[in-house]
Amino acid sequence: MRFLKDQQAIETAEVAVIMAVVVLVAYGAYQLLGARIAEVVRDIAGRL
Amino acid sequence: MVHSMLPTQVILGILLLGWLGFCVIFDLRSRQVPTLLTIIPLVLAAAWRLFQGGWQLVLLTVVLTLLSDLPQAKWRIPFGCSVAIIGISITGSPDMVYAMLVIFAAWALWEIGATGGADAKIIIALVLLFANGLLFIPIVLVGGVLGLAALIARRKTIPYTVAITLGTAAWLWIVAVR
Repeated sequence: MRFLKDQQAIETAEVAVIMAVVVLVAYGAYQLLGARIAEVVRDIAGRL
Repeated sequence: MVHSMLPTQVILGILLLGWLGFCVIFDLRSRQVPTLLTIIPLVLAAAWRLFQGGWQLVLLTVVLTLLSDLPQAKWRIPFGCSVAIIGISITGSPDMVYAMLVIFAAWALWEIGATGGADAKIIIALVLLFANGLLFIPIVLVGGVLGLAALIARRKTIPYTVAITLGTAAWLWIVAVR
């Protein structure tokens, strides 16, 4: 199995930075809009 | 103040960080981690997750592992994504949803060649062990700092096991003091 056999432990520096930025933005957005998102989801669920 | 930590949990935490420390040593030496050092913890974590409840996470890991051998490379990620979405739709708790997202993300990053297989397996083993995807946040943040330092030093790659170890240590500390 290709996945299990892979021993490489290397990560591109750019990818590491991009992932950190994505997580920070996602967390920030959730903190800012979390309640509103839940409200919209409940509204859509209600309409369905 | 650290509270509600049983001696067993402290010992398990030390064992966990010891295993990650070994991975870091191999990573720093050769940018590789021996297969046994990742597969055995992965299998143990999967068994623990099955025992504790959370078969969906184990099933997702098994399916993604099998999908990585699909001859048509262009279909691996779409199929993997579909399996993850199905898994998320049948699971109830937010913790399980985060855990599934992280398992899929780690596998997909490996599949596109952005991260090493050892790193992906270690992250998945940790998620299976704790059944909590939020563990990924401190790991990714530490990885971002290391990545930024590497870019400034004009290096293209970083030993991600260092980020995994420091991030896991930070997460264990956060859980202990909460």
